[in-house]
Amino acid sequence: MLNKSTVENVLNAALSRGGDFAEIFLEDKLVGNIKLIGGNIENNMTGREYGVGIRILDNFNAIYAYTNDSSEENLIKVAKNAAAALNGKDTERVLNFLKRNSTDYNPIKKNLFQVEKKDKIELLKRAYRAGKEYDPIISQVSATYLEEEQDIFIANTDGLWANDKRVRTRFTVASVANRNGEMQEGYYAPGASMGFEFYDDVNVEEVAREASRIAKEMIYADYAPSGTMPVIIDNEFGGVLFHEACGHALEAAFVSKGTSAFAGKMGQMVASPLVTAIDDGTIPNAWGTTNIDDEGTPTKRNILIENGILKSYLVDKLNGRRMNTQSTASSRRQSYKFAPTSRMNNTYIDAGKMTRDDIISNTEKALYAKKLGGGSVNPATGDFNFAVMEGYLVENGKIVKPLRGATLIGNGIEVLNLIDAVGNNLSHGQGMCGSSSGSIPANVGQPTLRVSKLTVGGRKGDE
Amino acid sequence: MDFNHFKEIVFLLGRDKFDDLELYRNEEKTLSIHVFNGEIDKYAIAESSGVSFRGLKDGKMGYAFSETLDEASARLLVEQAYDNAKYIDTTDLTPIFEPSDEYMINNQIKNKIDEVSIDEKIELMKKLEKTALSLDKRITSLQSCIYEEYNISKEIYNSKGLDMKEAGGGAVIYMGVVAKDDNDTKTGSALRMFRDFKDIDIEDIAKESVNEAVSLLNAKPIKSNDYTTIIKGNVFADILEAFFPTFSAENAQKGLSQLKDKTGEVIASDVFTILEDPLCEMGFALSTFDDEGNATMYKKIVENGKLNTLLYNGKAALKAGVAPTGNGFRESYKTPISTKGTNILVKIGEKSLDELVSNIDNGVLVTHVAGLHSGLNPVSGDFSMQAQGFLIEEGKITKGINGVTVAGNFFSMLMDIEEVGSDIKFGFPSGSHFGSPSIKLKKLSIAGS
Repeated sequence: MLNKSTVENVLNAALSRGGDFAEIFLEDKLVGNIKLIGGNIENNMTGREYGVGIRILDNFNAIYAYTNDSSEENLIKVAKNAAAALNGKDTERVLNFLKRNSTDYNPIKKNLFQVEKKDKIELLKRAYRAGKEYDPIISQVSATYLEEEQDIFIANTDGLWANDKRVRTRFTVASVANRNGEMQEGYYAPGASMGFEFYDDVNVEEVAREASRIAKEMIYADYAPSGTMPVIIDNEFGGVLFHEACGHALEAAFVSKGTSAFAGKMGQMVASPLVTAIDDGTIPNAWGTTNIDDEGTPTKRNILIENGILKSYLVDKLNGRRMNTQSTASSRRQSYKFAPTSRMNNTYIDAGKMTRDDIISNTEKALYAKKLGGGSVNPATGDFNFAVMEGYLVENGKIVKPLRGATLIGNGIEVLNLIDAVGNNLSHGQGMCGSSSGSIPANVGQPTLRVSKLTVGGRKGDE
Repeated sequence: MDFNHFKEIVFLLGRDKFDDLELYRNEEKTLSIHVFNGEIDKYAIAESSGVSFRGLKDGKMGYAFSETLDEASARLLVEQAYDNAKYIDTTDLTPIFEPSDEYMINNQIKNKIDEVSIDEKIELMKKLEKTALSLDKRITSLQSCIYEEYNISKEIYNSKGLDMKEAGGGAVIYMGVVAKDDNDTKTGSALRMFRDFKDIDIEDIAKESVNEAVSLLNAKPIKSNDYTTIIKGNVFADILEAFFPTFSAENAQKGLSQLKDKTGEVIASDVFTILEDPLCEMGFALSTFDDEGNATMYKKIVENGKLNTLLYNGKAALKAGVAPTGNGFRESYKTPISTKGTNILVKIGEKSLDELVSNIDNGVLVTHVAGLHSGLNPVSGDFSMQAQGFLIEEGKITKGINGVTVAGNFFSMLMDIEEVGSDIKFGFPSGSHFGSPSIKLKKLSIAGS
């Protein structure tokens, strides 16, 4: 890591031509990735990412530079090159760093990189056998074990001096069902900010059987219908609904520039009163939890929408300046190669009162979306989409038959107002969220809920 | 430590432990300028590099990568790769190759981005923003007004005498605008990739994005049905890219592609040809050798509907007993070799987009899709994506369409291609670079109201 005088010299070089804030972000990350296809270990990669990002803020504008070489000489050079984009005067300053201690929300019990490789490979082989043996229709099973340990250090001209360690592991299984050459794929991929103890809780055989179950169910399923209809979205990864329909558009990066459908709506009713939505960077050991954000602000639990009323945006330092508001500790980045910006951590719609069975049995006709894939949104218009991986037709309060995947589309504020039933079974799923500051781990979550009208992108006329 | 010294240490340490070895390196230099409200909202410069080492021991390949070049990293790379190799138990061998007999030579394509100063680039982007805002009073703000340029290089050295380096680069301008009226908000965008500023027309970029946004204001869903559909070239290029893993021989061998055993068979309509052109001037995936050091080559992958060949990296070629096709590429030094193309093009036909439209009585022109990363699956071939576009009535583009999806299956869509336009457009380059003309489909399922 860097010593105090180096940090001082680099930050002063960064402000040598003006600017009112400078920050240094150092990252040292170990990554490991083992891939199994068809029972055999196909690839096994380990590596180390290492670099430094230097950011200068000048009122509402930002300059960013990064390098792999953390010698003081090079960092000063990089800082001066970045500063060359400004034409102001040197503002000498005395820096008094205050070491920040933050709460540890992600205690680690078994260091991933000290566990023997054969134990990790055994997980993959166990998953393969369970996935393959699930049913003869399963023709192929692939599984990946991922691990990472990211050490970061952040210092800035406001006197911040902070460290964080982010340890994460994820286990993904993809199963293929093959019926006379026609193929369907099922996928399941739990992860957490945990060490190897994650695998004491998560049974990789169950993960693999779940992937195979989805593939098998879908190979025998009919195509989804097309057109608008009520949709019941199940808990866990169903939270991708809120993530796309609303979460991104609450990011200050869009709100501060007026390119969000939610800009100027603070304190207003933007959703059904059944909806309370939260972004919480502090859920112990969750996939999207960090102790501090990537600007060094201790993470928090932010209530975004309470009983339908917009309470908070997701704010980073730079966009907070445009909006004249404080950071909500929501500034994140994939790595030192990205300037940080407002992003989500663990976002979810809070639990309501109904059971899943209540919701289904009180529905005349709907698509029941049991497993969801990823999605995307245009924050300016609010138009969003997300994929159903496993669907069913509900008629007269009963699940009638399986339906193949289809994309669901809608418009953010419209859809939040159409949520007419919220279940009591809140749970969270894991995803990678891509945006301008790169690809970051984020949880999505919700209880089972019903939207009275969404467009279902199937390829069969109305049933 | 300088790279040559680092390389010497790695080879010295690696020779003791491995039967064969390879050192791969990417270097990258980037500049990006974001303009907002007449100011430089974000300015970023970077120089970075990364190396990947791989070594073959008793038929097993181990990988490791690093972003630091010092002696400790060199030792760690070799030790980790050696340890990683031990656990490989696939029976498919990954070879390390001698240099190919012959490589194509690039003496046409030059990057001239540096001939323009940074100040001029900034002024150009400010002018672009101003132009876009002035074209139509319904344009209320800009989502993005971005200039990015990059210089990248890759180098490969191996124990079989391979010693190669190649550099490339270019620039991208991306503009996104927001249009608003009393009832609606829509966005429009335009993208240009170039190597020479003389190819750039600011007015044209501004107009394209503004026209898209404004013409989609108050666009509505249409009734769910099967429609004769034209998919615009850049959109078809993106869809083809998302399904392209299905053309990988390694995926076919592993039962992850429905094109397994289909070589020589008809898989598409006879007006449809896909070719790979590593030195295509319009493409930004210029490459004369792949990431295993094998020569890339011009080839017709699909010719008049017939599948001529799958794409073979070294491992898949060895298993199949054929020569590699120069398609062993990595995502980056952080990932192992997989299978990718360079510039992949759908061969153009004779009719302009206007002529394609003029023959349709009742159909749809798709100009934008969203959800490419989630709404389609290369293994099943199924897709369902959010779409935008225009209604075609009696040979003319009439109303804007929004809030619909397009759905189908890639393999049956290829058979439904009726006509291919003459208007090639490219998607965003991402290692590979895909280009396609507008494609007319006999029918496509559209879900709307």
